[in-house]
Amino acid sequence: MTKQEQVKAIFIEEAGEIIEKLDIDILRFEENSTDFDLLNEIFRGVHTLKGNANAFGFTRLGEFVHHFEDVLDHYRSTKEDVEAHHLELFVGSVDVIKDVMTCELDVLPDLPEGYSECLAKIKVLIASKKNKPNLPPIEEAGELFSDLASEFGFEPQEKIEEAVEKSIQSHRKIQEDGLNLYKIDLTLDTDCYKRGFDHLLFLTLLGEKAKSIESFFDMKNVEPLARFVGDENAISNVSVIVLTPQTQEDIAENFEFLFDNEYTISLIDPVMAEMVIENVEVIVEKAETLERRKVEDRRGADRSSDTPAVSVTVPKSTIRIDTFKLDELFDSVGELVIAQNFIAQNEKIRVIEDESISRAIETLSKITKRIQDRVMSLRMVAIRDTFDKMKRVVRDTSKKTGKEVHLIVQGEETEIDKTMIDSLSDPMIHIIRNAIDHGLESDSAERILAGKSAEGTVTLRAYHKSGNIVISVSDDGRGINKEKVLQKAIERGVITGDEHLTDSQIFGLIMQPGFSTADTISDLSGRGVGLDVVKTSIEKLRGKIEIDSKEGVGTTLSMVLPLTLAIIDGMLVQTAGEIYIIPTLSVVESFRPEREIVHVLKEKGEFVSLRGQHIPVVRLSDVFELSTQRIAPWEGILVCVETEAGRIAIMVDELIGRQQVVIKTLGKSLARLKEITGGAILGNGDIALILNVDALRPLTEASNGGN
Amino acid sequence: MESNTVQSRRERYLTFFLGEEQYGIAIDRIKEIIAMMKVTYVPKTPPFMRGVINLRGSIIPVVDTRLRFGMEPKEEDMHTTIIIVEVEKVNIGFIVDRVEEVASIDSAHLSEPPKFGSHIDTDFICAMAQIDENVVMILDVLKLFEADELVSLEQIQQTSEGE
Repeated sequence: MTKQEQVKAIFIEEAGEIIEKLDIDILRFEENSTDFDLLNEIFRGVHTLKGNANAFGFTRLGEFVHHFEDVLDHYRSTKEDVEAHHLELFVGSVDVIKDVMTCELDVLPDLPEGYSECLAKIKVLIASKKNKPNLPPIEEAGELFSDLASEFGFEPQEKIEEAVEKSIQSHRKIQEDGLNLYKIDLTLDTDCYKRGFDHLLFLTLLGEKAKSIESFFDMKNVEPLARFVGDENAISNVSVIVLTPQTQEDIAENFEFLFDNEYTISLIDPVMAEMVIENVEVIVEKAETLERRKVEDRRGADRSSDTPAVSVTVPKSTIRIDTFKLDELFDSVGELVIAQNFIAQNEKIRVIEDESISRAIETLSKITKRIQDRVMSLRMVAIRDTFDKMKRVVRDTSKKTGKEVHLIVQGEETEIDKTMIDSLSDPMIHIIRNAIDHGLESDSAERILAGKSAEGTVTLRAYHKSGNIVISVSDDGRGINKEKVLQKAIERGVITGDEHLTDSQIFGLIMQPGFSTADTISDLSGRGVGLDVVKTSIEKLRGKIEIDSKEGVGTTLSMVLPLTLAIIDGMLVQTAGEIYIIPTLSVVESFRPEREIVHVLKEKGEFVSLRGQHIPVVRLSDVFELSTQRIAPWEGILVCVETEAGRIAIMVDELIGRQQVVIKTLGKSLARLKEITGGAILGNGDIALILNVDALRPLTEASNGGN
Repeated sequence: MESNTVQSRRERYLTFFLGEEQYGIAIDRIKEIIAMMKVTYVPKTPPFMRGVINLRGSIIPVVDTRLRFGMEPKEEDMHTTIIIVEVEKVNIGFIVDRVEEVASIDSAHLSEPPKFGSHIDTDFICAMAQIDENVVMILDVLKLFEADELVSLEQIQQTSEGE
């Protein structure tokens, strides 16, 4: 990759992020179109995008964004209310930006649909706005700008020299013994930001010691915001009046990195203090304001960056790391944990009864644990961004279906493995669309009749539950009609109808591939269209889906996911001298059966009766062809697990325990073993294989419905 | 392999024994050589697939090279060694009877493998070389890998997607 390509790749990534953020912000703005901070935020994003797009020759994107920026700038500077239909245009524009970006990336010759239309609308909008009498942005800027103007003592009507003179006089009035009054003139070049200086930096430095400080910015060269170049300094002259105990040398130190011609410091002789000026308090107040302002600036640079007078960007203290590197780090830490366990459990070391050694080992294990936790946390990100994306989905689906939907989001701060988040979006979109399209009643009258509000509610929740993360989508629609599901399942041959199915098993049927056909029943309202795809993708993440529904009240679809992809909670079992791990997520219960409840059926194998259900017994030693002494089920342990094909009871010799294990792949050559998902390294360094319970079947292909 | 015979330059090979026969693997393919260690049996695999080992936290499949080449199994002894070979970031361990040396072989001394006369499937042999009195069969690691690793691309993709 050439340097240029690298830069381009960074741009593309950045642009993608900006667009994603725009997408979210524009919707938030749609909800609250008086939030001008947010509008500024959007404007900045669009502005950056414009610069980048043009720099890389994405002219179509650049052109569009340029006009869009003009519109935003208009509203942002006039603080005019944005009319509802224009809001719609904004949202549409963001869509166009997304599409153009794709076109640019794929070097498609055609403009995306809606490009010209949207652009034309924008141009019309600008034209209509431009015709109105309009003051230049700076003068007519609202509170934010006038505030700053007064803070920095800049009053356009007043000549700077006069203002400086006034300030000097008023400062003399409050000058005490031991305080010196200086006038500092800064003449910084346009490139000073790039050299790492800005006026506020010096003001901050001076302000640390000063009793009072007042500054005057010469704004005459500052372009209106539309043409304002953020990384160039347009303020050529700044005068600072400072009352401070510092000596001239101390003051000069602040400027030692500037060229000599860029600053002058002059001590104002107190003897000359003759003139009496009122407004003393005002000045002191101004010093305080500056102090406050500095604090604000440290907290967030966002406000300062859109005011021409100050341009401080507080660097975000984040770095981007290739996830591959994180994985490597994670692997190494895994090794560290194993090595540490090896030491801690080593028999030879354990026999040494020396306090210092045991203490050292204990410390080592604590540190290792801490490192492991921290490395784990590196991979975790809040689910907020994904949820924000879903707001868009809800909005669009709601418009398309014509159903009023109120979205409630809970637990946005829940953290989840980054690699998992990426694969969660699609299933979530699917589920949400289903919930709105099919879950909610299409007629609000029907809702009112059922005693519900006309507006449907969709709730998005993320929370922790017993070592797993649950993401649920609930609607308050009409719920799933169990009878119809059963009827349909029998029709389709998914079930025979003889089974005793629990509610959750019935609901689970709608995720069967057999249900995902276009031919759907109206009351079931097509739920199941593509739900099997959702199920598969969640299972790929080693998670599962649970459905809960009450007719007339609503449906909740929960995705239960492991905390991370790398670690699962496993149940360690032993059979024929080998240790295997069963993911606890799929374990229902484990027990040693009574002799009476085990049945052997001819041609069908062994079954265990459990609360009216006949569960096939799968002997692990048989499936894996392990040579072992054959024992009766009541001499071993049955681990009852939930699989795709219903419950099975895995028969093992012994239960060993439950533990969190780091999943490792067995290498490609062994990946084709469908019964095994991977391996884990136990504390003693041994490897235990992790079972894929869905691939375990009784050796004799017995149906699970026998009696 | 043609390039070996065309250009005349010295390549280094790790040589090892399986029974009486000496084999060589290009040194740049070898990641490390470790003593025999506990191998965890993986069910439902061909007999030559001995299982997996824990190499400092990584799980690596281990092939019994004798069985792979259709030779008689042999009791492990103090010379039994696992050679970890790496190709395209994939590691596999090969259990061999005894590791001999790292030999420099002039590529001019390499010759085409015979089509018969060896205990092993000649597919895996890319060249023969003479070192002192011994004939060394140079193994084509890629072919060994293809046979053991890339069994079915389709299946592999399916399973690795979830990782």
